[in-house]
Formats: sequence, C-alpha cells, structure tokens
Amino acid sequence: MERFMIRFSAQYFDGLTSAVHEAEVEATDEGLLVLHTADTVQSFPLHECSIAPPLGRTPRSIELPGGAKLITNDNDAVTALETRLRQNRGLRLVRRLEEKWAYVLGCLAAMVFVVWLFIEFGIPVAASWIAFRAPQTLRENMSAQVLQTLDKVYFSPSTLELSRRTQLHEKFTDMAEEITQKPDKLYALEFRSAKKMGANALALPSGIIILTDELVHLAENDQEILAVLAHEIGHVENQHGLRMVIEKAGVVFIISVLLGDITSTSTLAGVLPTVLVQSRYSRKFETEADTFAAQYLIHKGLGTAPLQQMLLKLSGAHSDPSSELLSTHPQTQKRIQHLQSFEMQTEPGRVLKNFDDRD
Amino acid sequence: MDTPPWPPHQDSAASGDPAGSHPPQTPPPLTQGPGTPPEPVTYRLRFTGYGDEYFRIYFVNVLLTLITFGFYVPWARVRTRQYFYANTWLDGHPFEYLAKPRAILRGYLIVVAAALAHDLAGNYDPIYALVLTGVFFLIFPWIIYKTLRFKARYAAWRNIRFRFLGKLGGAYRVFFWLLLVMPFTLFLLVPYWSKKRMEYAFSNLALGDARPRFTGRTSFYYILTLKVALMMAAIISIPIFAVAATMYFTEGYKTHTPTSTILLNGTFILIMLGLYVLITSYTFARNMKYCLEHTKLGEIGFHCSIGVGKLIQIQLTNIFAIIFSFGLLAPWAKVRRARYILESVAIESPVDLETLAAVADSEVTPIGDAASEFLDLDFGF
Repeated sequence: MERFMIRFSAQYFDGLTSAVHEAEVEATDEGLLVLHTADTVQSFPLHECSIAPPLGRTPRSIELPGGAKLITNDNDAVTALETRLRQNRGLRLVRRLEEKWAYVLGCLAAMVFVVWLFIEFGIPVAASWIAFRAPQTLRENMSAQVLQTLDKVYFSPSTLELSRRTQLHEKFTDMAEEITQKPDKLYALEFRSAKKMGANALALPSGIIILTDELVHLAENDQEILAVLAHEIGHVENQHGLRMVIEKAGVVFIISVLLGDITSTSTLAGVLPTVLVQSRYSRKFETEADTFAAQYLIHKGLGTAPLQQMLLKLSGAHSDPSSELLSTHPQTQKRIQHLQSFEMQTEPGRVLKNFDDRD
Repeated sequence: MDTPPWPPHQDSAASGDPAGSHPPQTPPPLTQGPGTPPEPVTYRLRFTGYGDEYFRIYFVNVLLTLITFGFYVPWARVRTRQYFYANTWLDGHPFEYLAKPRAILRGYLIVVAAALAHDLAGNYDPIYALVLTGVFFLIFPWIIYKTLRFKARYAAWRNIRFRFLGKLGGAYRVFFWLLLVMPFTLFLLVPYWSKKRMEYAFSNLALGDARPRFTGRTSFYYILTLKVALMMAAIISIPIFAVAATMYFTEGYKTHTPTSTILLNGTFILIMLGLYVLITSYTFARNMKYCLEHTKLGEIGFHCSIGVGKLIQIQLTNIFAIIFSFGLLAPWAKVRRARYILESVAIESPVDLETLAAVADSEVTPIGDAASEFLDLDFGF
C-alpha cells in the first residue's frame, strides 16, 4: 500500500506569545500531524486539527488543538490535507468558482438570470400568494391609516349634494354586488373634495374606494364614473395594494443584496434601479385593473368607450409625464389602445361566460 | 497556481525610521547600557488585496446569497472580512478574522426575524412599530458593547487575539444616557459625544497583554465640528444661490423644459453629493488620524498619514465608477479605498513585536455581530 505523507514548511504560533517559530510539518498515515521546530517535536491527532477554508491568495492557516496555529504558504499541501480529511468541501467548491474568470463570468450571467427571474416571477408570485392569504383585519387597519393621512393632507369633506352622492352610491353598490356575487359588505364608497389632487379615484386594500368631487364634475355621464369605479374595484379584487407593498419589500431586498457588500456608496446607487422596478410593477397593476374594468363594461354591453373617454379627460386635466420609465401609470395613449384592442378581441358572449365563472 | 510573494518585504526605505532598520530578527534588548534608550522601530501596514480577485469573491457571494434566499450571508460576510484582514500585513504577518459562519448564522436569523417583525407590526398598527423602535433604542448600547467585544475577540495577529475591555455600563453611559440628554442641550454636546464614542472604542481595545490608552481631548472634536460647520455653510450657499438665480431667470419655473429641469436637478444633486463626500471624508480622515495618534497599545504607538484630498478623490471616483458600471466596479472601489486607508497607518514600537503575550478572555456570543452587520453599524474603520 502506498505510504501517505504530506510535508510542508510553516510558521508556528503557540498562541501564548506573538513569537514566531519556523516549523517543518508532516501529516502521516497514522493520522498524526507532526511538527518539527528548532527545539521541539510535537504531534497532534489529525482529526482534531481544523483547516481554515481557502480564500483568494491569502496564506493557509491550520488551527491545532490547544489554541496554537500554523500558517503556511504551501497551498497545495494544505489542499491535499483538506481533501484527505474531507474538510471544507463546500467552501473549496466555492473557491474553485472564484478562481477562474470563466466560472465567475458564468456566475455573473447566472446572477443576472436569477435576478431577472426574481423580478419577473419570483417576487410577483410570492407577493400574490401572500396578499391573497392576508387577513382582512390587516387590510382594514392599513386602509384606515392611509385614509387618515390622506384626509389630513389632501382631502376635505365632499361638496356634492347628498342626492347625487346617494345616487352614485347605489349604482356603485349594485356594481360591486354584481362583480363579487356577494352582498356588499366589503366595498364602501367615500366622497371627498380634493383641490390639491384634482380629479382622481383611489382604491384602498380593504375595499374603500375614494372618489373626488373633481372627477365627478369632469365626467359627462354616470357611465364614465362607473367605468373608473370598476377599474378601482379591479385593484381591490386583485389585491394590488398589498401586492405592491410586498413586491416593494422584495425589490429592496434584492437590490440591497446586490449592493450589500459595499457600504455608503451603495445606497445612492441603489435608489434608481429600485424606483425603476417599482414603477414597472405599478404600471403592470394599472393595466390589470384596466382589463378588469374592460371585462365588466363589455359584460354590461357598454363597451370600453366610457373608460377611454374618461382617461382622455383625466390626461387633459393632469399633464402626462414625458417619460414612461419613471411613471407609475402607463401613458394614456397606450391605455386607450390596450382597451380598444381588448374590446376587439373579446366577444361579449365569451366575456359573459368568463365573468360568471369567476368566484 | 502561482505562489504569491510571502511574506511581503518590509522595505526599510519606506519605514521612515532615521535609525535605518531592517526586518528585525533580534529584538533590541529591553535593558541596555545606561543612557541608550531602545530605538523605536516603525512598521507600515501593507494591503495585498486585488480588485479583480475580490471581484470574483464578491460576485460569487452575491449569487450564492440570492440562490439561498439569504442563508449564505454569514458565510459571505465572513469571507469578505477574512479577505480584507488576511491581506493586511504587519511586519510580515497577516491579520486574521476568526469568526465561524455557523455561529453567526443564529444571531443573523434572530436579527432578520426582529427586523421583519418590526416592519409587519408597523403595517398592522403603528403603535407596535413605535414600541419596537423604543425597545431597539433601549438595547442599542448592549448591541454596540457586544459588537465591539465580538469584533475584537475574533480578530488576531500572530495568533494573539485582540480584546475589548470596555464594560456594558460604559456603553449605556455613552450610547443611552448621553444621547437622552442630547436634545435638551440643543445638540451642543454632539462633539463631546463623538469624543466619548471614540474613547469607548480606543481606550478599551487591547492586543494580548498590550493595554490601551487613549489621550484624545474633547477640544479637538469641538474644533473639528466648527470647521465642518463653516465648510458646510460656505459650500451650501452655492446651490442655494444657484437655485435662486435660476428661479429668477426662469420666472419661477414657468418657462422650464424637460431638459432644463433635468439639468437643474442634476446639478443640484451633484453639488449635494460633492458636499456629502467632502464632509464625510474630511471628518473621517481627521478623526482617524487623531484617534490613532492619540492611542497607545502598551508601548506601541501609531502614525497615520491619511490625506483629506486623496481620500475625497478616491471616494468621488469610486461613486461615479460604481454608478456608471451599474455596480460592477464596486469591488475595485472597495479594495482601492481599503488600500489607501490601511497603508496610511504605521506602527511604532520600542519593543519587539514578538513579545506580546495572550490573555484569556471569556466567551462571546455572536448576536451582536449579526446585529451590527445587519444595521451596518461600524466605527468607521
């Protein structure tokens, strides 16, 4: 049988003083690590020696039982020892990845792919899963707080006449019941006056939908208002509020992992990508809500025209952002085109069936 | 695999020692003839890390962290730390970071759970978030104490560990009571607090049996704060003036185009960034030099030749490199900065560095380290 022997030179530090001793080291068949220094010979059981994992070109270190240490440059010898003792298998693999540029570039490509997977699928799917299972009380608390803040900063009590509000509220309740197929316990319509915000409608996760007086005045007829409200109900039915919050957290996590090893400079460099990704998620939700509203409108035989007209009026009231990249809503032209092509592709009969099948 | 140069040469030309030393093999005797004091020997720190080497380690870390949903983080952190420690050489011997990732994992999981609980509680009812934040402030000094102890104990040179001699009470005095009093003194005590912070760290960091002494004075910190405040006032008036001038010329933004808005906002951001880098680099450099040169470890003294100008230059070019390379150049940036900072440090010792002796220290739990990593606490080094 071939005799197994690994030999190398090292520096020996006894751990009691900072003195250095040059040493010749042998690892023998009998499972011992034998140390020859200028004045002593020591041996230690191999299985009690702990070899520090390899890292770049840093010197190798072996911890001896009793607190002493060997430090050596002879990477080959230590690797042979490691292999024999079956230590650091995982991290040796990691080091092999780090050693060759080909592997690292492969890792880079893999990383880009993984990040893309996360952002396109991983995060949205996970967020969706969590959001649909969250307790209603959580949504109610969140929504109550948001409404409080909005009331303090943007809103004042509505100036619409009570009769008008009641009329709209009834139509809204009918629509909500028709969509959810349940008696309306979840949805509530709130009217507000919002001079700072202008014509707008907001959906809160718990089912509270806020309608501003300005939007009511902007609309030509009730169908346009209902179209917008259907869009908002789409936000709630698809849990966009919660999903947005969770997806945001996921994106922040990814970006901070990517830049995590570096400290202060990373926070500055990380803001832009985070905002870009979050805006993209938000636009996706708007499109989803538009599609939802379109389905309902077609089902009612109204077609998507009311929603298209309302979008046009709203874009006239607020200036459209010049670039879509940073914006949370797709550009109005795109939304109108999307609605038109959706309507053309969908036969009313088909939509009816889809609508009744949903629970 | 090619063998790296090891141990790296101590070139006496760079040591600056007038007596002209070479890597000492025989220590100057502690007791010499009457009238001949031992010659202090100067050693410079050397950093042998490379950007491209660290780049590979860094990106493999990131990939593995992503794939394992974050569980690889303790290993990634330990490898990163160990890379920077083991590439720092003093007198031909490297430093070592001895923490074991498995031990850190538990503390790390606790911190992640706590942070998640804080976020979720906040969404549920803000009062919970408030309570948790309050709890955090209460245990913050304990975390600092644990972190310093952990970082010291798991750092070693020539197999002699560092030790942190500070007491928990000291941490509470500086990081709780002093902070509590701060708003009532209109924040005038902030420079004093800075001095106390540095003192808590530097007067308590021992290497083996070499005991620390910190001789920094509060006056330095007041003067430093004053200088920084004056600098800020002088520089911040530029963007304010620029914004005022633009508003005047564009009649309050009425005649603005997308390009001009971007230019305006961009310039403003650049100036703010420049200011931020200037202030932080200036403070860091001055503070580091002062603290090191007013700390002694046994008989060992320190010199620091760090320059504000060079540090600012490095920091600014680093930031732009990172942004324009979409983060790919971040490892080079970190290595570059570390090299400059570490190699500005010199150690002066009248006794041979072989004569340090180890002192036993009690066990340390790594929760503090995980917390400090997660919250990115650092004493600026």
